[in-house]
Amino acid sequence: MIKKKLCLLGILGVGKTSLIKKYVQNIFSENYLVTVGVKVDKKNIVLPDGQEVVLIIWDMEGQDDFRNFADSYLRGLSGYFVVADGTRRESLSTAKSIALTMKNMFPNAESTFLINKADLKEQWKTTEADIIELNFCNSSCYKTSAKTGENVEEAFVDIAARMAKKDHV
Amino acid sequence: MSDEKENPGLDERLKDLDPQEIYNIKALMKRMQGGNITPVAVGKTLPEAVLIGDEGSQRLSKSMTGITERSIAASVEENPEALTTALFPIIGSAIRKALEKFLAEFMDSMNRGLEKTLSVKRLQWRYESIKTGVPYLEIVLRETIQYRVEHVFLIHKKTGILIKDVSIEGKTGPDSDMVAPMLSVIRDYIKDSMALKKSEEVDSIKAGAHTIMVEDGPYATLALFVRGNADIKARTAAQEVLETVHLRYGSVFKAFSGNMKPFDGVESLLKRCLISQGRQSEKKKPVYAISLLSIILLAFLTFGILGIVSGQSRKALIKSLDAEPGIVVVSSKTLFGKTKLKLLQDPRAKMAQDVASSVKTSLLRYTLVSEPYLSPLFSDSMPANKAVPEELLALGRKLAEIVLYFEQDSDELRTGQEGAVREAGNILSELIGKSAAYGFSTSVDIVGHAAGNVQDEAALLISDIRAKKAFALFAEINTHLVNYVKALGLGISEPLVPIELTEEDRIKNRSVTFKAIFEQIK
Repeated sequence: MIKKKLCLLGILGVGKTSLIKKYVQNIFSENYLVTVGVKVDKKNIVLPDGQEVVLIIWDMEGQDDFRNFADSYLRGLSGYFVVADGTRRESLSTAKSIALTMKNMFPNAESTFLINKADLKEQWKTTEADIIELNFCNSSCYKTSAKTGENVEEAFVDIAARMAKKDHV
Repeated sequence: MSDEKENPGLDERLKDLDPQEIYNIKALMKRMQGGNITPVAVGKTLPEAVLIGDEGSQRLSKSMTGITERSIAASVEENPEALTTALFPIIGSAIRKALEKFLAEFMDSMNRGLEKTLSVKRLQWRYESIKTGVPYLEIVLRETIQYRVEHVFLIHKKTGILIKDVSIEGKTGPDSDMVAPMLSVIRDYIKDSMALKKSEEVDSIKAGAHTIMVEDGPYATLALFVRGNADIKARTAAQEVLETVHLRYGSVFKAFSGNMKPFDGVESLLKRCLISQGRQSEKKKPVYAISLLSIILLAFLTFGILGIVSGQSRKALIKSLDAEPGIVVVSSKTLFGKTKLKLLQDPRAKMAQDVASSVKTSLLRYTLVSEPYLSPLFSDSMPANKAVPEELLALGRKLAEIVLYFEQDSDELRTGQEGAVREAGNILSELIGKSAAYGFSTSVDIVGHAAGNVQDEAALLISDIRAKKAFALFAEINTHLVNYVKALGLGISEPLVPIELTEEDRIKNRSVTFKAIFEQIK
């Protein structure tokens, strides 16, 4: 069994906590509660190759200015999700900036972009071009919905499998 | 030139190459022959070589361990002063740090003890101190330094990931995998908020009844969840365990990738921290149980003593009543402390209350049921206010000894009893004379008796006839005394022999006796 630290980053209200709640507890709530500081959750999973992984999921407080993040919260992570809200274009540009910073800080960590709120696609302000542009970070990308559960499990399992392959934290 | 000497024809063979290639080949040959391995060359390359050699598996460090230890030992043996001087600055600092830590914990413990100075506990401790002579401070320390390490977490310092945890039996709590990272977060938060220096660590957090004691190592953090106030022993245990963990698993930590497998077996080390220390488990005295038992015992004793006293008093009363002429205690029943006495009481007898008073017994706890009866003991008509002179009583007893017998189941007097009747007349004459002198008058009841054990009409009738027959004989022989006598049949009520066992007893009960009756002349 291996344990991996996974962090979720992104600006306020993109749905980080909802994604974790959906994945860990299979619950979705329309109520919006702001995460203060950090909250830790856990999920035991078995990868397709049979390997057991315990994901220690750090739900980080949403901040518009990523520079305010305490390094100590991120220290030792094996992977991270950068979460953006498809209905808010500014969340995507902040996500790009977060991804760049993170790439510099943790070049060996696995990363994935999650463009959340796929259930509200008609309200999306994000274009496919914007999403393709994200590839410059060499990250994979999922369009997710914490409400319907679309791609949530897939995104978590994918990053867990990639983290498990690496022999570093 | 030397190359040409050692390798004749070398220059010839190399002539087709350019000058740089010729130089490189010659340099290589020199290196192969060891020509360049000089102390200067080694000195230049050694630091780099050591760094490269220690990377990864730390083989060089491991291989140097023995040599280093032996070198230090040799140095101490040769000149201890050199090593002492070198280590002096570190030793002083280390001792100071250890002392500071000890004093801080000691003061903390003291403070907790003194915090309780306004409590009832404190008064109890004061009392115990006075009672036992043990210094108060010692009692405070003993009472406050009590703890139990309930849960131990080994946490990867860099990631906050829980490596292993152990807890005391039966202890359950929140998911340890989630507690461990949050603990790291809280410590970092406090450190950031308080702007603590890098060297200042948050090594203790108070949470409810628990103190989270934290020890940091280079790669791992050990967190002890302690119930109560931990002392230096717990901290020392944590430090020792953490050091051992680093010694054994240092390389595993360094290459940590989240794999827990290499840490199998670390639990046995962590369990060393599951200690409890302090005062012995305080056994509360069963005050309530003792009180209850005491009350029950006291009640039993009280009722027992009262019962004995009451029983003795009852016996004394019954004895006194029985001894009293004219009172017969027929039965006695005691229920719920109340005694019911059934009495036969002659109206002429003393009142039961007076008898009770004479033995200092109250009749409040008694129910007296008395039935009137005539006691034969009052046949001599004892005056209430004047005793019958003994001389008269002696004559009365002498008269009572005269018995007239009858044939079996018959009212016929046996023959040859005239003498006895005559003697009875003589005694009566004497009584009449003497009793007058004492102020008494005398009469005689000629009492007829019957044998048997049933007081029926037949018995009364036969006794009456017997009495009349005896009266007739008495009157015939003592004609002048006829006015002083009367016949009275009592059946079997006052037999001469109460329990008839033989025929002789029955004969005695088929009789007539004489009973003197004295009356005070008013």
